[in-house]
Amino acid sequence: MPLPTLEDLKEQIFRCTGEGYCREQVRTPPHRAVDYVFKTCPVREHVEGNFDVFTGKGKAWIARGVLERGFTYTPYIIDVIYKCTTCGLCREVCLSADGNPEQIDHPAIVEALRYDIVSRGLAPENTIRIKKLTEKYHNPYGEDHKKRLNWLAEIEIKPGGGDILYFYGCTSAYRTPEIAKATVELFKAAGVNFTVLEDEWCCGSVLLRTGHRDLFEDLVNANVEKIKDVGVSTIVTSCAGCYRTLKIDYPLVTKDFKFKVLHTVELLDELVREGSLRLSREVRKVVTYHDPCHLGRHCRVFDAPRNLLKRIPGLKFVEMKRIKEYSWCCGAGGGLKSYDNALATSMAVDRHVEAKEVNADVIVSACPFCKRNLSDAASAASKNACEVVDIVELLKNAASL
Amino acid sequence: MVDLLNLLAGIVGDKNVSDDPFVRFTYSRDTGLLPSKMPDYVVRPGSVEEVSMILELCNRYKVPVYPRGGGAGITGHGRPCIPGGIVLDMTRMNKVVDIDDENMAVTAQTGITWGELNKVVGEKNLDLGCRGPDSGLSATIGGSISNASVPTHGAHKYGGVADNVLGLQVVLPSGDVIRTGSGANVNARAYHHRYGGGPDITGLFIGDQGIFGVKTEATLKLYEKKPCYDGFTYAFKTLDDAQKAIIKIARKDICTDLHVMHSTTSSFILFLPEDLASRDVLRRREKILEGIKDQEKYDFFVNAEGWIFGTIEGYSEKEVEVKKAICEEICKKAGSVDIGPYYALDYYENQFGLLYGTWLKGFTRVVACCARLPITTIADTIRSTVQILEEEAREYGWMYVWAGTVVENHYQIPVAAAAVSTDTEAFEDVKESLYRAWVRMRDSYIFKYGGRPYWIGEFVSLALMRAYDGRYIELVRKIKDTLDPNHILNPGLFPYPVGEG
Repeated sequence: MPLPTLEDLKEQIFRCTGEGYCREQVRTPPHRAVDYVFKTCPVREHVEGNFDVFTGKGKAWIARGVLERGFTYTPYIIDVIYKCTTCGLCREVCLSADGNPEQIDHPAIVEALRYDIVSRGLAPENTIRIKKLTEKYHNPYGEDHKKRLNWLAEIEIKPGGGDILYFYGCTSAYRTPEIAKATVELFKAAGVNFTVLEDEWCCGSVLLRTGHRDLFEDLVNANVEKIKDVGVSTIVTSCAGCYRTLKIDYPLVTKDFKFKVLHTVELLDELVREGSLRLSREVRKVVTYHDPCHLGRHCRVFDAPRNLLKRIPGLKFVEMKRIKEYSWCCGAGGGLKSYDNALATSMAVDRHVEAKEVNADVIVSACPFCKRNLSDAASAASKNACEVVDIVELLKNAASL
Repeated sequence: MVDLLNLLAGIVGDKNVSDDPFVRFTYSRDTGLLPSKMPDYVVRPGSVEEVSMILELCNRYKVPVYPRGGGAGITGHGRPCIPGGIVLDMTRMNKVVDIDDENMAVTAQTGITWGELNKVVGEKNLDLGCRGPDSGLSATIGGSISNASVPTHGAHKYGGVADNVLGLQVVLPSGDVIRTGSGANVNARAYHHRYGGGPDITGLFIGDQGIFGVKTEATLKLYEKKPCYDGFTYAFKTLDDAQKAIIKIARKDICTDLHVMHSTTSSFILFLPEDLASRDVLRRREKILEGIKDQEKYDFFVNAEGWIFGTIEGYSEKEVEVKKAICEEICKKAGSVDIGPYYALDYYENQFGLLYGTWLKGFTRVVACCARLPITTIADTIRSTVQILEEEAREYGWMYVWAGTVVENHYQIPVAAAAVSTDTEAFEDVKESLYRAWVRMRDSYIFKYGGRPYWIGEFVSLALMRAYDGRYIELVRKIKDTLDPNHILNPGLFPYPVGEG
């Protein structure tokens, strides 16, 4: 199936009964409700005038308004549709969806609505700006494409050749190079035969999430050609956004995408388990793990990062109350960080508070975007602020690199 | 012409009023089968003062107002009966006002959900008696009080929502704000008692469907949380045997929850194909199978007409054990087979989880109809419900997933849920039959068994006009006319219903 349009999702859209678990609350099994009841929609909790249109069911009803009643998008409703991280917690608690994207895929409905908006020439200005930057520079930050591999300068690997392609992504290239560096150092220490693309382009996630599918498809095709040229069968990425996009969305665009896609944590978990990577240095910290939505809820990778953290000597691993499929989004995803940075950051403060509640010093994630947003929220989190690091940074320490 | 949007924005602020078609459409229905009816505006008040000003304004211009809680009702609530007017989304008023752990009362704004309220009092080692309806993760206490809801947890021991309200703050259609119960005394230090001087004015607003006033705060009974609990599940050859046991257990007043299930529920849980089953159904299946590992028990259970399960809470393991032994003795004497605590414990530990088990893969609509009836009618009403569902389902190919009853004190609330697993277009073909089953269930409870309907809303309002004594209806009308002479609150509902039915 190609990237679904509203018409393709009609069946799903009409399945919404409007029970409203997506609006209010989630019970996180297997705990008793009274102890583990939380709000469902992070956006709804952080916007003023939070009518039901902000929720999962609201998106289904907006879509019905378009499909069934022929309503024209209003500026207000376009803003509502773009104020969503597509985190998918609503899909998890929805009675009709039951966590199954084949039943009701709320994030897909939001993305189809955005595509419809873009197709009608109503795209919000800053999404157009990002599209233009990506078109020109092959990254949404508007950074010089020639400097994309600058982070690699101090590390000795030759682009081209190898069994595995490390797809490092725009954010690690330009904003969080420490993640890309730590990743390749770990790969080298474990003897992984890998390579990187000299001319990697943005994976297109932000464009797909914000409805700009034409450019997204161009990026997919360009990247797939480059990857084919390298001759690998497996792609590994340290970015949750790239991961979901490569793993779930690329195959919808082109049949030529036949690569196995892994997140760094999946590969590292295997390497540590088989003894190729030794974690022997003590890391004396109390650490909690924040599940990136695109890695956890969207792709169901929950255990690998936890296995890794639990193997670090000296590290005390604690869980926050909202974890795995019921994790609370940090606010960065779905294009929200670029659309409304203040809203995205306010959501990340919640995560600092939760981490402090369980006495964690450090929030670890496995996504450069989560790291950035959680770090941006540290000052607002004030006394609740935790140190924020990516999992590969901790692993690098533990591996004495 | 009056610029209502601006006037409303002047009260609640620009961001909390909307005439956006998408917003209005989202608030145009509840979760049932009734069609969408769009309001002209949706308003989200943030305080009692704002609600008062809104009602005063609407009364002045005779604008209909439809208060809405979680929107989780099914019989046409919280959305216009007659298109137009204002939907008052109360979910912004969701604060806990006071937890009084000495006079044992919690006061909260009515837009708070049951899930949140349970959590907040639970953190203080307290418990609600009535813990909310099964939709309590989205349903608000205000909506439940307006519908005199039945809780799926705590109902047997503590009764329905109506039995747990100690007082209300209500905005009348005129905009006047009153407190009921002991709170009517302006010198009151605690809202600890439901009755003020004179009649039960608190009761006037319970189950009123929001036609007399808008509830803005409610005070509910509190209890100390009991640390120990256990459960039991017993299968009975016939529902008559189950009913006899239930009556005896109810007399002892020792269970927190007590439920009766028809075999259709067990068949659904045990035999629903995995590709249709939700995660909750599969988990429940495991719990039942755990109790019937023994072949004899398995055979008895799958052939039993009914089964019951109950939960018991106590301050010590010993207390729970003694109470459980009493239930066990009663059930065993009635010829039942013990299928272990597993299902009951799962139910207890997954509060607000019953509904999760009724959704199927595909396109599901749950059609439920409930009424309060004496417990002496359990066997009859469940059988009659199943017969209706069977007849309709056989002809039109949909499934009925759930038939049983919740025991609330010495009442029972038969509950049946039907669901369709199909695609959207095919649903249109069976919708008529689902609707007919819904009407037949409603009429059976109200006319054949003389029950008091649980929900009213648009769907039941006209049926009540046919069933209730004309003099009673006249009295309700007089009260309505006195409090709401312009009929601005929930026009179209009992006792002035519109439509057909």
